[in-house]
Amino acid sequence: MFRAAILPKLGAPEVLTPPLSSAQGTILHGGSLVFVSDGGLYRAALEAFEAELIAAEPLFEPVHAGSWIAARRSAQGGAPSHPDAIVLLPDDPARPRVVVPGQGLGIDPGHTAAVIASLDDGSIRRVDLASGEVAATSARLGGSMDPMMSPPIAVSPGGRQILVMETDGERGPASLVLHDLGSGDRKIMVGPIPAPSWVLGMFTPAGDVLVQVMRLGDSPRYTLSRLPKSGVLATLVDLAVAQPQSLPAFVTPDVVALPLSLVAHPIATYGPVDLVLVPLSGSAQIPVTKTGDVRGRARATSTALLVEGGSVLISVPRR
Amino acid sequence: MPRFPLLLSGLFVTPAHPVVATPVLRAPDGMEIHAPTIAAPKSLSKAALIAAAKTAPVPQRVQIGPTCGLYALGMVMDSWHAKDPQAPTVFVREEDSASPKQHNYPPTSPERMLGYAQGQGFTQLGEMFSAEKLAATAAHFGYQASLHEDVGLDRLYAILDKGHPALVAFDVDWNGNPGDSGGLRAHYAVIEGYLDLDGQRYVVAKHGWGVESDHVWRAADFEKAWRGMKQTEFYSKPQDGKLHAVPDGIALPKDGARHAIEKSLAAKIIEIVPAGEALVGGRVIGAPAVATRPGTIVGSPLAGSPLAASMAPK
Repeated sequence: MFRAAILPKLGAPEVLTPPLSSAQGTILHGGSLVFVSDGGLYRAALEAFEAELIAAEPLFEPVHAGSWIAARRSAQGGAPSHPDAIVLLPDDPARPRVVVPGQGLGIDPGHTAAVIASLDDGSIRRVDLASGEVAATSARLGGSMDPMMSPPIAVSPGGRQILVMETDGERGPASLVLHDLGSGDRKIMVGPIPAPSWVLGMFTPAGDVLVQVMRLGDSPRYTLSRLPKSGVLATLVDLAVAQPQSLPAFVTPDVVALPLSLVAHPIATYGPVDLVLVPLSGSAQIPVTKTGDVRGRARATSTALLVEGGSVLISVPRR
Repeated sequence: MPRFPLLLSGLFVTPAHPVVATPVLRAPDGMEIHAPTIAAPKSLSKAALIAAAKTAPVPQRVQIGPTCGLYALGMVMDSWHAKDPQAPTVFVREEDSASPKQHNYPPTSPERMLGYAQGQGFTQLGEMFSAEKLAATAAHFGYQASLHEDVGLDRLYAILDKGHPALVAFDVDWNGNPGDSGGLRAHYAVIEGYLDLDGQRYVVAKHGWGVESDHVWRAADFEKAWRGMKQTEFYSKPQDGKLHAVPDGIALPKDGARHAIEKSLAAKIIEIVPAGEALVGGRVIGAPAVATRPGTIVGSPLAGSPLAASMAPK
């Protein structure tokens, strides 16, 4: 039985707009906005009207990784089979950057490790974010991931296990797979779920797993469930609406936040998307915004609940 | 740096609006006629509303590989072929004969769309980043094709009002609905019709993923994804393990590490009709006059080919 969730006290959401109009993938990092625009990756102070180019190369989808920024790098012509890479840019200019071949990226909640999976050879590498050392692991992707839409990788606290969606062929049945990076053991946690579908997992601070299952089609059904270490799956959210794909953020140990569509547009299978709080107690979801056009992924900091990854940053201060 | 407050919402979920159709009478140019509207029965099911909205329905083909444009063209061909068996219908790939998901009718030609498009330098793997070249492919296989460029939704409605399917490129999300990736997830769909509901306009569409029987999108969502086609990474990141160059039969300017696709895809409609049917408008696109490259199979539409005879209609 779950205990009643204590809801976080939040202030009014606000939108932080980067000073360049073509900004994409906006995140908050080190008190500044970091975003992609023409020519590379930029940084701008919150109140600034100018931005500083911090990496003049094709980096996309930046992610906050503690004292690093992790971003995908697009290949630039040249040799065939040249892979995409994940680039880790350190805040400390004296430290070298880290470049790891691969497309899939996950960061553990404590920012101690980054895990990078390659769609080319199935390899999974682990980066120690304290030392910057890259280590090959015994784990390998068993299925395939969509290179155009690489799903996020959930990394366990400490970075020893990951949860990743693997599909049986292009847009095939989806499974949620647990990989142990030390032993290389691979275990299907959920699935395969008949296509068209997707499934994402997330480790909870308590050691459970949150599972999102999206069954697409004429009658879509989305569930967010809690899979305890022992016990039965408990469904927390059950919606007949197609959902955006992102991992939830823990606002408190008992409450997660993520962009969700609670109702569909009339006659459509998708609807307006807002940032929503989901108590793990199973009580009702609580919309935090009501603009209906929230895009990106949630991240919780000690001072705010953020939606990152879009052309703007949404910040909801904690009170 | 601008900061804008967002309204904090209440704690309650707003229920979905009741589904009540509001048909609108239209002139051929797509303009509304301000005649008394006819209230649709409130009991009309979602499926019935969608069916009634489809002035240009097309049958489904499920794509294999990055071939959405060619399979969408195949759906348009199938819709015309269903009305007139003389209208050509063509397989995208040879393997399409093996599965009913990839075709609806026996082909009227032994030539395959993918081989033709590759031979012309329009594509590497089936991707079609030039709407004009997709129209040219339709013309090669015996259709009249036109390209409506930099047009608005009114033109889309005018084409649909004539009962013509509208082939369009747009940015797609993971679920097969309009996305906002600036063209990085460019995709083709066939718009089959439109409807108004609760003061909101929707379009009905089908595309090669086959996620839903018919997708229903808010027209505003579709328009944003249709106009928002800016760049592609297709030729700057590995596909099927290899990095492919831009095909030499299309022109895509470099845009940083990516290629610009706004001029070749955004806000365009490809109208395809069989011989004898008048086009609504647009710039007429003919089949390329230049012969294809060595090794490319070229054939004229052949009704009653041995392969066609071996297959029953779906």
